[in-house]
Amino acid sequence: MFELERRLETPLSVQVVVTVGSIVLALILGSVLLAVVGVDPIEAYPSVGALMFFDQWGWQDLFLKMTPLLLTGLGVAIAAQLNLWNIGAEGQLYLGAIATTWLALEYSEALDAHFMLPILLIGTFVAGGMWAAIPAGLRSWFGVNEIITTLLLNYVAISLADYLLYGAWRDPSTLNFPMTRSFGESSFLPMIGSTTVHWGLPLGIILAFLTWVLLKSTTIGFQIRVAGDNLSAADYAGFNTKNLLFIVLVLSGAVAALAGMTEVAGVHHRLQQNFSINYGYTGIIVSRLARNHPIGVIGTAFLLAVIFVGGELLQVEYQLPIAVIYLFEGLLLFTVIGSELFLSYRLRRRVAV
Amino acid sequence: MNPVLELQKIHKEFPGIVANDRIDLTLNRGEIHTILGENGAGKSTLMNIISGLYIPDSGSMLLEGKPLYIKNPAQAIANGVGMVHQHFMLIPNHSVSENIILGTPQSFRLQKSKVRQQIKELGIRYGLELNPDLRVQDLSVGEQQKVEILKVLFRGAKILILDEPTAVLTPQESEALYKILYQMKKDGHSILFISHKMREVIELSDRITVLRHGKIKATRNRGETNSSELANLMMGESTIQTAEIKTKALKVSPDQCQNTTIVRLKNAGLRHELGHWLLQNINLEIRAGQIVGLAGVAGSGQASLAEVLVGLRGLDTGEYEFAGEEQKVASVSKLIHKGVGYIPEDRKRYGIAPHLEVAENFLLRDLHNHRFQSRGWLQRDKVIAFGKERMRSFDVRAASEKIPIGQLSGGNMQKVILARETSRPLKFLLAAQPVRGLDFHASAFLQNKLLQARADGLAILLISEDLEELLLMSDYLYVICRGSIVGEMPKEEAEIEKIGLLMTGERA
Repeated sequence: MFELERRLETPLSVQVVVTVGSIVLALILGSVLLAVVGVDPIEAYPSVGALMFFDQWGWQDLFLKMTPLLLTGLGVAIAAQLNLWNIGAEGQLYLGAIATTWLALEYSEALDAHFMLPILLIGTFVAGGMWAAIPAGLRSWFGVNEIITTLLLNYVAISLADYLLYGAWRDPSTLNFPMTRSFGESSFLPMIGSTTVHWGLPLGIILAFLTWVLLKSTTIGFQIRVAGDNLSAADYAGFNTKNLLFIVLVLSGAVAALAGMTEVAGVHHRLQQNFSINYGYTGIIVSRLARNHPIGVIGTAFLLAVIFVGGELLQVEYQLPIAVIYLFEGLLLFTVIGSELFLSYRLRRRVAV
Repeated sequence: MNPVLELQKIHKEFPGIVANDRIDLTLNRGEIHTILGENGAGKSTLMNIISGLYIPDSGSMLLEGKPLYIKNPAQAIANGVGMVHQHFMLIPNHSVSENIILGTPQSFRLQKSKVRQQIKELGIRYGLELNPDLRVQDLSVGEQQKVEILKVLFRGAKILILDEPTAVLTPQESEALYKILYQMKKDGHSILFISHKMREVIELSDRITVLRHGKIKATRNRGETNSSELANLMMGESTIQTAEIKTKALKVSPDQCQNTTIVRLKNAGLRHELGHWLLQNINLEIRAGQIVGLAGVAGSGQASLAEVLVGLRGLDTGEYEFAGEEQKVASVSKLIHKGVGYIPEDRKRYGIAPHLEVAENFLLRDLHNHRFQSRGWLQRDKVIAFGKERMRSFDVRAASEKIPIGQLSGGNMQKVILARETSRPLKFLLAAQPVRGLDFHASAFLQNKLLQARADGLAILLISEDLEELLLMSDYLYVICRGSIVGEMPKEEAEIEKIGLLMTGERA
């Protein structure tokens, strides 16, 4: 017989082995899934892998998908430092896209890229922060649960985008499609070299490292870490925990909103309906898989991008339905979170009494 | 005499402590039997054994002469033993009747009207009338306790265990409870009553058994004892002499001139959110170079008083003056700045951030000191160096200053807290239960540091439930009971017996 015994500490090697092991397990379970729908996994995995990593279209798409996942995941992870759940990254992404679109439609003819890009970046960041200030303020000063408010605001932001797309912002030349006209070129995020990957990805990586530095090396970051670890101790230390909650949730929303900017200014160059394939909701998974570590988010955003692109390829190459992607996502979440048991416990052979 | 429940040589050990040392106890039918003892005497362990929460290491129980094996609370209830907990186990947004039937066998479709009828009948019989449809959250504390008692009676309990039931009640509510207990006693129920309030114990009990350090010290029948004998039995007669011997060895400095008043409370009052008073008419003064001891039974208002003094809560009435300035708005950070140090009673809950490094925990209450940061950037090397130095001078035993503080032992954790709180310019140090749970060496070390701080001219308030510690350390003593100061005296006039009586609410 075996029994579980609590670990006193978890070495890094165990964390790596457990995480990699859980991903492998998800792939194995996924192969069963593929076999059930009539695809030979032994053939499908390598061919999809080759298309994804070695084909130019494949890896560029990988990095393009990774960018919004990284930004929304980072946003969710920032809130999680104080044990707050920001379920509203999807809405924040939409609001960021709306803010970017407004600025781009309004000013990109008049200003060149040197002015336009910083304006888009700062404007979107501020707009996302103001949007998140609604649930943040309600939480800090009235104790309203942020999970509910951030979730509900998603519907508001998405509806707002629809309202604009069907109304004031609809481009008459596209006949009846709900999309705006294309931005002026000064509002296009530049590409890296000759690839189709735009500068949103480095931006996300820089922000992840900045978040880490903020947490580790500044007094405000220290207060956040204390309050996240033990809120009573933060009160005892005289920190203004209400302000901390507010600041962190606002920051969380501002970063997630940038994902909307990179999507519309970097990929579509216009706002259109359903431009986000649940990037905001998937950001929750990205953050959770990284155990809310701001730098770990870079790795898990890549992992989720692999699932997104791999799923697309499976759709195209093997005519599988999109539900297969969601099933893969679910499997991965299931195994990774399930494996966390082995981070705090280890299996031990029970000694006979 | 008609014994209902007999305990024979009940023994229970926890790592490092004998909680119950071969306890023999009998409970007769229709008797109120009180178990009296200080905190940590083993009362709660014993009651938890009877009600099935703990399983004893050895010993046996007899129920009406037949052996009784109780492995869990459900079996205890099935055998007619019911416990009314000190902290109510009720679901606030359910109704009274829903709370009462919780966990009792019911048919799939609830027979609400029948249940309501049963509750009414029980209520009339024992003076526990309550509207069964009210929600528990709308009831007063006394009424909630009635629900707890009804719960136990509804399950058919013949033996009731009440764990400090009057601790949370007003005097009037307590009187009403006594009447209920008499009624139940008349009806043939047997009651085990836990308390350390001397007066109610003497009035109410048919028999009193005193527990000390896990052992039975004595059992007395009604009318055969008095408060001072019970106080001696509870606290031990020899404590005062040993205290004096150690005091001579520990006192390091001659008396300082104790002229400057650092902390002053005038008619201070604090209300609970639900409206009752946590603190009332507190007048208290702490001077520089003085250790003031605050004696009191657990939960007499010490925690609230501490929260007021360090700025976690603002007073509802009266004045709080710190270093000659009135503190109108409660602010922890402002008081830290003015020189308040605080060793919290619950060190794990308030004193540390468990997953942060030991070195980082040193800046918890000192974050804005320029020693550690400049313009908002932490000076990592200085934080580490400071942590190392403090750990050395306070003899904190840890593998490194970079391990999470949660991995340290209680004693080492407490040293970190004390080191942190005394490492900036202080005027006042509030030490709540600073040596609770620590071994002898760690305790002596911490007490010496406190005496040294006193010699350096600090004003110190020492909150403790341990009278020996208070007499050893303090220059002046206050006694708190039910949120009010019920006595004060210089150390020279302090007698353990007198303080013990004051603590339990008896006027000396």
